[in-house]
Amino acid sequence: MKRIEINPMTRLEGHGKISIFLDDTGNVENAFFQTVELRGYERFLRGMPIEEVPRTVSTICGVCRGVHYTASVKAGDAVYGVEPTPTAKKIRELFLNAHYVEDHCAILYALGFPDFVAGPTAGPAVRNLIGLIEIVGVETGRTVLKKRRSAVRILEMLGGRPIHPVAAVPGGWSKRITEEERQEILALSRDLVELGQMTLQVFDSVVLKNKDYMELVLGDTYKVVCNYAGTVDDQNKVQYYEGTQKIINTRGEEIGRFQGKGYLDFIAERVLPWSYLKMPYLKKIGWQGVEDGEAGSLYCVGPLARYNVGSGYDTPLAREAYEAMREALGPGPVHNILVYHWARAVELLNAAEKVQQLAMDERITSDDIRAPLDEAVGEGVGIIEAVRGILIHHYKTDKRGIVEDANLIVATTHNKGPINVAVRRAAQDFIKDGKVEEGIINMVEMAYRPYDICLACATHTLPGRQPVQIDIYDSQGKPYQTLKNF
Amino acid sequence: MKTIVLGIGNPVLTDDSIGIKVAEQLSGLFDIRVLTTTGLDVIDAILGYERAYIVDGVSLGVEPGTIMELSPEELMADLEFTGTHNLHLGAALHLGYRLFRPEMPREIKILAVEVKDAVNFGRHCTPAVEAAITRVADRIKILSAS
Repeated sequence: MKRIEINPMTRLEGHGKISIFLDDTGNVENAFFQTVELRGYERFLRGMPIEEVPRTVSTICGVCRGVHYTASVKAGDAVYGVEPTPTAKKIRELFLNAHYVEDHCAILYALGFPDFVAGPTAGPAVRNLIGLIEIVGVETGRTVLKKRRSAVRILEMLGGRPIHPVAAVPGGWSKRITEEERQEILALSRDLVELGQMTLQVFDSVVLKNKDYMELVLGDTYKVVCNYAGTVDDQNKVQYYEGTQKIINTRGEEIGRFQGKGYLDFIAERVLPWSYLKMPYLKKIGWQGVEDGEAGSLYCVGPLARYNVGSGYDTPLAREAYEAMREALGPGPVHNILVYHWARAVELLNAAEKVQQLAMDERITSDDIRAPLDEAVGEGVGIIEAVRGILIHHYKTDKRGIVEDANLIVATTHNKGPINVAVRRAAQDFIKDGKVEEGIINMVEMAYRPYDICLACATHTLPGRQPVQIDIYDSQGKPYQTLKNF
Repeated sequence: MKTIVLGIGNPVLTDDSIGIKVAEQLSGLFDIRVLTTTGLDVIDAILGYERAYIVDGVSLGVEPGTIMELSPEELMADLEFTGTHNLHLGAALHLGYRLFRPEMPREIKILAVEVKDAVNFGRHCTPAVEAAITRVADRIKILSAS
């Protein structure tokens, strides 16, 4: 069989690049992980009417398609100083939750579970989705994909076209839901709830019942002690579309809360000499370096952060699953990053139940889907909980609503510090006295995969994979060894 | 034969839009679908069709605008990758065959076009890639007639 040699690194220009530096004894002194930035999109949006922005930013990532769209349209509301109608809010929330189901499903089955099923020491030839299917069975795999398709169908119905939606407008949504569509969504939502329950069962049988894997999950190799940021409602329950952004420290104590432009009071960015990228940290603590621990100022976002920040989920089945997690993991923040996958599975069920609840509400078919707009007030911030964590879209416009400046902070950016710590820790565990253990790239991948990093996903080209290269340097800064996953 | 043309790419990243532009040019002649990524949605898009043409950009270092025709087997040879964020096209097609073989197209052809610039923002392709749009579309018409 012909093998096609494709080297996409030439086009990614350092994205997905890990540099590991050894000391005189050949042990890891430091490791750095460079991720993509979105400055290109921010520049591209300048001069664009605010109404066009959500459609454009939905192309930032083919995977995260629903979240940039939703955050952007919320920022568009704020630019016009308009509150969307209650029906429009329900439709947007339905849209976002359906996106949560299909995205969490893809991440867990394609990327998360395979690490556990075959084990971290297994080669990548079996540690992938195909390997997972061989273990859980073809029928289960087929069922999972069919049920996930129900979420995609809901997105298509609401968004106005497949994959990249067009229906959201400042102040509302341009396409109302008919009673027939509501009934169809309600029927589809049963698939989603079943998918959520089934996913937790798979996690239970594959991970929780396996002593070795639980040692890995709760051990120190994959542990990063940091602060957390997530969105909650006034009952302190986890929210995705709307709520208050809450920050806690490593012990679970509240540092503060913000909404809208308030993020500027809490989040600062540090320019680092080894990277052209900035690293966010908590302004109130002050820069403490790329270090974890109680004194650190790094914070992370995403499913584990939401689990740590909130006091549970707002639907019955997810609440039960949360209580089981708490019983197993104890009180206080959990810093073991492989628990991200567990929280992700619970959120899948939570989002599925929310889709069902919203579809049961007959008022969602009302025709008050758009609030009238006045002149633009010139600045707006839209914040949601994206699947991977807090997503901030901040625009400044002129009075006609033409974008003059844009600032986008995505989950992978928030998580940059903790990802660096996780990668360094894994490298320290698997490189000893100059000996680079075979399979280190797998172990390093496991260190950043829980964060579900979005690397250069604005551009893909064939074969559609995201390459990672690890360069190891000796204490003199000379190249020592290079590892690639492509 | 029930046929779909699937264009994959980002519409605002210069040559990365090649797949989308080819699909749009063939709208009306075939069912078309556009995706911006290569994950599980690929399976959803092509299930139920007898034949699928998948058009995407590729970066092999050859002359920009060069068209390469690949079979799924050629892409599926590379499964030793676990990914960070998504499934690559070969893995998605492999999964489709493993789970839904009776519903998968009997014939899949991947048309990959060498890109010159898929990093900078722009709604138009560079000239050599732009010229390839009609050539790929014409090639699909010929393939579908054979």
